Amino acid sequence: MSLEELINNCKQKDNKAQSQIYQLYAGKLFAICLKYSKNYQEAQDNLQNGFITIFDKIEQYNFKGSFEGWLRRIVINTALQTYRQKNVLNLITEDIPEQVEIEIEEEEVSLDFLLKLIQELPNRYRLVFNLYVLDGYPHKEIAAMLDISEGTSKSNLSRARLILRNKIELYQSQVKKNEVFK
Amino acid sequence: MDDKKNIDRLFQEKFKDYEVFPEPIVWKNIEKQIRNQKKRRIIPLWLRFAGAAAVLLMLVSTGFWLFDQDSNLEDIPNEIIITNTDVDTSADSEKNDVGKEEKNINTDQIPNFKEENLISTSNQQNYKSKSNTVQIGEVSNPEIEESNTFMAEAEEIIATSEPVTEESSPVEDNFVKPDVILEDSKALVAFEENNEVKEDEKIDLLEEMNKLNDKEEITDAKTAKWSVGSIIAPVYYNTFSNGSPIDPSLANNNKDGEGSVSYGLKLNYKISNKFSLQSGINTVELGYVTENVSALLSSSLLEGSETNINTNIEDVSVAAVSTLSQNSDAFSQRSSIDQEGSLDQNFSYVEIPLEAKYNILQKKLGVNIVGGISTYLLYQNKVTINSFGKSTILGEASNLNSLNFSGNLGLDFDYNISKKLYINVSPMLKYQFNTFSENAGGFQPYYFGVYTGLNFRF
Repeated sequence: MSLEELINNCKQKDNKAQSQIYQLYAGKLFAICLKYSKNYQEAQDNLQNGFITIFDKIEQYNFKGSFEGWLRRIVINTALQTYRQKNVLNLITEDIPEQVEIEIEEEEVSLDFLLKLIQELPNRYRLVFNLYVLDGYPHKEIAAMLDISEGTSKSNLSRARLILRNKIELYQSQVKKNEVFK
Repeated sequence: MDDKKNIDRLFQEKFKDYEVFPEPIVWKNIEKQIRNQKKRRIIPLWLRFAGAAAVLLMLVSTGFWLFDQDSNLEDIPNEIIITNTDVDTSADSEKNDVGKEEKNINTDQIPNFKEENLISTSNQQNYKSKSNTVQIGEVSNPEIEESNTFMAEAEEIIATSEPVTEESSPVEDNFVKPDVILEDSKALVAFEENNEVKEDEKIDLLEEMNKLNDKEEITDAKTAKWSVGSIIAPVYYNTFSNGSPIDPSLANNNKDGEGSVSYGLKLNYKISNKFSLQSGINTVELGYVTENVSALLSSSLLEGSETNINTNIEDVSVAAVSTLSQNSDAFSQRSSIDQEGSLDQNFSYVEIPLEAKYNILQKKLGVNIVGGISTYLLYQNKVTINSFGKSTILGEASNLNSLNFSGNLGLDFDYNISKKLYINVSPMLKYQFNTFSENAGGFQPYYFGVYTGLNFRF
């Protein structure tokens, strides 16, 4: 069955097709949820709500643009929605105005560790970092999505990078220490 | 520095093909929620179906009400038959009465018995001849036990009645021993008269209906809500149960519904975008074959006058027997027995349907649900026996209602050719309520037809 048929069956609320769509995309979409959420549980909640929205709105998908892109946008929006509702996107003083290029030593860092770092970021830093770095949204769009100014978006991104670099360096130094002790 | 790397790139590369499959509980929760949503959406649709069902129920109950009225009318002729046949069943101490009947028959009917006799091992036959010449025992409520004892009694009665026959019959030499209790022909005459009256009524009714239809067509031609069309339909008759309306002893015989063609006119009036009412008038021929019915023809019939069978039905008497063992002696004495014989019952009606049509999809192809009732006026009724490769009309079924009803349910597809013209295809199942006035023997007839026609909107 082609993807198009599957989508059309989904539009008819066919249970089997819905299940198949879930099987196809749950992995990728759950990865997005994990990056945008502060923990595993919240990521699952976001994925769940995201898929419910997907099956509810699938009739609106008109085969323009990639289906996966459409799914990603819904899931990202769902993740953002939780923070909009919780009103946790409070103003943070913008004392680091410009983007800073941060470079770190390339050493073996596990993906799980990086994910943990992202999740530990303050909510808005995490969202901005994800949107800009991992999902390629420009600051203008991010500003609109999060209802903040472009400047705030840039500043949040810089702060996120700094925090991440510090944590990675701390981790790397600890690893080194451990190696010395061995 | 080569080993220094942009933090963005580090993350981008690491998360490039990142996939994590969530726990199964997530899908279960999603499933639960989307199912619930679906239910909410379906409810209004079911409400629509419920609406259509309510209309159907209303029409069907109207049909039953009419049917009740009709069966009251039928009671009068039925009583006549019962009183006469009661004598037969309780014959045990009333041989004299039976004897009287025999006399009656002899005086009235002997000329017809010249060439062959009639044998019936079953104690109830619900058909009667057009010409009153075929006599078959008719009993209102036979039970199997009774019928066995009745067989024995029958032979006694024959024994006692033989002298009477000899005395009163001038053509006695040709008259082969009667093995059967013959029905009081007066009852049949009475019934026949009654039937004729009903037939007159029937014709009047038909004329009335036609007039009504004509009037409707004329008065409403101005509005564009009407459409009229031809219908032609292959119909297949069958029964939900095994019983036989001809004779209880044939209840277990295999019965095959016959296919035929129904044709007529259809009239449709659109009440709203969703609902329309349709009526019309069409003929429908229904029939079924009871298989493995053995016919016994007397030797005189077999030897001689074949022409009598086809041309002069009045002189032919044939009986159908379902179970040979009941009276095998009598059979073996007589003549050859056709094991492969079959009994063919046909009835033709003028059908006037009244149906509600509910639209569920309206595109170039419209899909509708149709439910309603049909009124049937009987105009042809015959029972034919096919035996020894010959087809012989036995007579008419006496227990057919001349007016009866059916409940109709089906689908209806309209395909628009132009604004004015559309093709209509409608598979319908019609369940008949009161085809038989009495002793339907658990026979529950229905028929299925695919009604096709070209319709014109005006």
